[in-house]
Amino acid sequence: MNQLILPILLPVLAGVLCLALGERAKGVKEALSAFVSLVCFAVGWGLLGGDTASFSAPWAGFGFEFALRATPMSAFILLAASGFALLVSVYSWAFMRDKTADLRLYYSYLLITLGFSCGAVLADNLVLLLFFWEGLLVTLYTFIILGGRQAQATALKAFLISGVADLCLLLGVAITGVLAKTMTMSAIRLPVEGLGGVAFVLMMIGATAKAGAMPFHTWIPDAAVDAPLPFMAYLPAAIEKLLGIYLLARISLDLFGLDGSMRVLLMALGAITIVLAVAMALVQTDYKRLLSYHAISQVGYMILGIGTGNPVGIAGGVFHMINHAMYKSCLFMTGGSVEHRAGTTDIAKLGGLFRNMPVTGVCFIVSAAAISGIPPFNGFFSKELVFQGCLDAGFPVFFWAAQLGAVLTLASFLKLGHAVYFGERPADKDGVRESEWPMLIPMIALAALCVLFGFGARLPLSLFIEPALAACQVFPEHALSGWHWGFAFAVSLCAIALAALNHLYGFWRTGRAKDAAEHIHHAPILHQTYELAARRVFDPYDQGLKLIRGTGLALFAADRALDFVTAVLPARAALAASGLLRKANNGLYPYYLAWALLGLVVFALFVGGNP
Amino acid sequence: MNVHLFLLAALAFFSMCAVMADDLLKAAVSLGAASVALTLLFYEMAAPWAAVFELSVCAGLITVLFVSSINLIRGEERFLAESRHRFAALPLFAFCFAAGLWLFGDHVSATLLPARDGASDPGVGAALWSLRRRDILGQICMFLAGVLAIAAFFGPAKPAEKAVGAPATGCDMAREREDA
Amino acid sequence: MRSLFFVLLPALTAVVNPFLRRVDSRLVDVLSTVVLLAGLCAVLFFPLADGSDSLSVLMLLAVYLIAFLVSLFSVFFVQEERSRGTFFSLILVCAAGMAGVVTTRDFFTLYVFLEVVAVSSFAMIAFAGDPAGTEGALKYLFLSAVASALILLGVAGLLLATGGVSFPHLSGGIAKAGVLLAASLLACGFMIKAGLIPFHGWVPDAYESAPAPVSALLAGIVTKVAGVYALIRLGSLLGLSVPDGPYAAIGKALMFFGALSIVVGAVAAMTQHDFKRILAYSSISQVGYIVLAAGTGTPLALAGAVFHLFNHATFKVTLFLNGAAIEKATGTRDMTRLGGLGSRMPWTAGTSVVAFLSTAGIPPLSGFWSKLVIIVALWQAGSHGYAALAILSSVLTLAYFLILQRKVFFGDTVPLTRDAQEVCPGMLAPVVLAAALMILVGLYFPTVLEPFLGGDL
Repeated sequence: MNQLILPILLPVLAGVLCLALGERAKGVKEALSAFVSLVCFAVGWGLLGGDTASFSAPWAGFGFEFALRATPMSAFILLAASGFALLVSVYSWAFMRDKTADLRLYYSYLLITLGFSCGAVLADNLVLLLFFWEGLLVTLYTFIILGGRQAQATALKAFLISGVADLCLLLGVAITGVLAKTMTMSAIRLPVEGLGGVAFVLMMIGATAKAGAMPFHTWIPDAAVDAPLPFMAYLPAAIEKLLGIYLLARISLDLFGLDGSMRVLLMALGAITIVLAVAMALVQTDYKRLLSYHAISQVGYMILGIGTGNPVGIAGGVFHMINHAMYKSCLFMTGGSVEHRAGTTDIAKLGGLFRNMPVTGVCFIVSAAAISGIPPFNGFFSKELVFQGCLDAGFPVFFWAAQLGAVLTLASFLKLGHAVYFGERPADKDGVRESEWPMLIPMIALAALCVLFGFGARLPLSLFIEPALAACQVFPEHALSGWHWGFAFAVSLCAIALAALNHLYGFWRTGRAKDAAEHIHHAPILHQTYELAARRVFDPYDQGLKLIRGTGLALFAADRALDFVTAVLPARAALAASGLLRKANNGLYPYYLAWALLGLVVFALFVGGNP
Repeated sequence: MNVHLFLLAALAFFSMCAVMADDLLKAAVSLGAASVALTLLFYEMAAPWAAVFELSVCAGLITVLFVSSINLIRGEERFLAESRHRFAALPLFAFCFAAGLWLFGDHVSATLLPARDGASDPGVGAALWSLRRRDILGQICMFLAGVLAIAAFFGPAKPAEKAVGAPATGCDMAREREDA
Repeated sequence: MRSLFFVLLPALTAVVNPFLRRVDSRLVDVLSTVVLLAGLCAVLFFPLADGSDSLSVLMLLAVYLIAFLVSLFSVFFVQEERSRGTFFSLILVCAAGMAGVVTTRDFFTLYVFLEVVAVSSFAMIAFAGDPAGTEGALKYLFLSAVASALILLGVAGLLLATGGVSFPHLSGGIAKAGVLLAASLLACGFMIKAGLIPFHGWVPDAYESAPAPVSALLAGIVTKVAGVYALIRLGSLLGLSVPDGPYAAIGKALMFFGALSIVVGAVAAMTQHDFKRILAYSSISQVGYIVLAAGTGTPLALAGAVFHLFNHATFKVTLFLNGAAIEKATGTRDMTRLGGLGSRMPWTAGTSVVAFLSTAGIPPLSGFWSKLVIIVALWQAGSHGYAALAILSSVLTLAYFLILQRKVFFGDTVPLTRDAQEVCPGMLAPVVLAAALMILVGLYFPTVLEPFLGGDL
């Protein structure tokens, strides 16, 4: 029994076992889930220090082997994923208790998702990777479905969007396999040109869509409202980012040798995602929805970092990935905590909760500061690395876009924090109490990690990121650190100041914290754009649905027309001819004789004409 | 004058009878008689094959068909009071033809008609039996069919009522005729 | 002369019948049916010694099979007591005539037996004595007379041109101008007898107005023997398949009329309301297939033609007998007034559906294989257009049978059919037997077809 099999097989088996457990077995599922996550965490930890382990077994034939391989990077992702699974399991213990969803299904999906994620990061065969990847698509759908009846449309939306992206990935994998003549990932090294470029772009779409980049992001805000909240903290905030960025890093650094144009493409994609998503986040009035737009926006930094192609930028991107997973999970958990106690996530109905829920509030402040890039928390350091990478790569335009994103991020969190935890408390929220310990412990743990990774940025960088990059043949300098005086640092400080001033201006104008961003919302051109976005004009899914409906109607009309030509017209003609023949057979003997004579004439012509 | 001319005259006579008779049945019988005359003529002219065919087909078969069909129609239709004057020219034409034959008959028979060759004539019986044995069987069946057909149309009348809903398969027509 | 036995046996029984009737009227039915069954067994188990080929044997088998089925059905169907002796005698004479047609080796004898068949069927069509039956019989008689004249002229022409009318004398395809004319006349006469379009005028009227068992006998075997068998025989003797042979033109003409019949028959069947009339037009259409193959003239095509002829006999007799059963149960043949009989008369409906599907050429029923053989033969002979037409016409066949099936058997029962009862087992036995034959022949078709491909066709 290889240790690599364990993190795949154990969660999946445990998930199946959860399904088999009875309703009355209280606590067993939760304990099982936490235990299995812990085992996986331990395996990841063991893999981290050791050499590259591998496992191979014959599978589907045709070069499709069940090949697993633990690189430092996948070990790191494995460690992170199982850690989040552990925290979410603990958190859900309290959160899901009063929900109507079937807990057996919930924990089963949670564990199976973990198993498949481990499989995806450990896979050393593209087809095996694809297998686990598509399996995650199924659990994604079933997870959202747990949100209840109104979640079904969202689940379908998520399924279709991810399905399209996965189809791109499938095509990319197929082309890659044909070009490289092998499916073993560790043996592939292709140039990005011609078909190779197509393959790269297709796989890139699959990877970034999993991470939630634009334009495949639109299901996430919907799911934030409809799906169970721990799901948001678990999948879109953590696991999907980990997997997507892992695959992006693998294909960008390992499978393909990137050239300049692909890098610009990636960086542009990242920058656009940052700015547009954060601009949407700024005007949201729902706690979870606002967070979900940030979950999209932050992906942009990671893609931007990897797109720079220099070690500083890539290290920043990967570091930002793990940082983001931590603070975004934490933020979603604080949102869940507020929802759990205050019963709503609409920020207009919240306020002044810091006194009621101090632990949640502190966790929120720490993680919000981290995401906004306030030193000395972890987000600051990873962002600095990305900024520096942009400058080193010689594309200041992306640097400025990223800085603009940072300003708006901070502005939106100032608005959110101010509106929810400070300011005036609505009368009906007086009796709100702090959440239970099982919900607080994961939040505290994550917030502590944010602080730890911040002050000790050197520690995670040298412990996790550098070995991972070295395995991907990217050799970072040993001086790699987010902390250095320079142009980028100065601009970042200015950005923080700008965001604070903006918030103060907005608050001064309207007098309400939740409206602190309204002056941007109602700026001349932006207002119309926001209106259009609110009507989902920019949602490729909705537009696609309209297009499909239109196409369907057109095809239906064409089909009717074709049907008329091929079925209705001949049938009518046949019936008309038949009616004529019926009338012709009128029972009059002379007519019959005349026909017979006519036949004789025709026969004579036939025989006479062909002597 | 030989037997040829006598048979020709008989043929003409019966043919005219067939056309001019005011009763269809008589016409059919006359036609049969004409066929018999033609058969004998063929035989006299050393054409036993043609004679056999003529006898089989025209004298036997067609007559049977005609008689049975005429009997069928008789019950259904009234005879039309049809004028037969337009056939009055026929005897005149026949007389002219006979006169011509009388004047040029010998010449015609000498040049056109072959003499009877007694040596190669197998005789009607031999021709029928040795060569056309199956035809004889067929003709027996033919007559059987004709008899049965007539029996079906003119068979014993019966007072059978048709079963409700069942299609008629009996001799309703014969019954109607008896009623009439 | 063993083949004479098959003519003499029913003919003698027909003579005995009227005397037997005085003893017991029921004895006539039993004797007739038993005699036909004995004939059927004799065909199956005693080979014909006197040089009859496999075509004759198969036709003889079909003749006795169909005559037996119809006779068995009539035992329970015919209600009248006093004239039934005559009716069964007519069936026997008709069978004797058909046996004569298919066993003879001479065109003149063939003609004589054709007339036997014609006279007896004429009498049977008009047997009911109602005006419609008489009218149908007369139409048949009149067109038959035209056909007889043409055939007789053709026989005379053959005699004049070649000096003989026996099959061995004619085989090998004597190339003479007179033979072409004579063969054309014969072919036209046979086409009238077969009821091909445009010589078909009598077919719907006669089939519709005749008593039900007679319709079955006529459609199932009489027109096939009188017209189609003779055409196949003529075609195989003349060698129609030789591309630039002297008689290729006749083959082309036959194919043209066959194809025309297929299409026009199928189209005309679609808007008919009368159950039997649909079947009549369907008969025309199916005869078209057979003649199309006969006109092609290659060994495979002739085998397909004979095979389809046999299959057509089984499924058309099933359908006509079922039509009679429906008429007996509900009192009408008008499709528009029927409905939902599938639940009331399951056996009738089931066998009908088997026959429909076989006619339309749905595998694995017998009709599929024979149509397939015909289409393959057409394709091999280079008649791609006709092959395509044959395939497309199967759709038409399916169309009108689906219409019929939906209106008569499926759907809800209507007042007329609500109290309909399944007919007695004696009337079901023939159709069940025929349906079983369709399925069995379909399943074991290579065994059935092999002798005719390897034989002297």
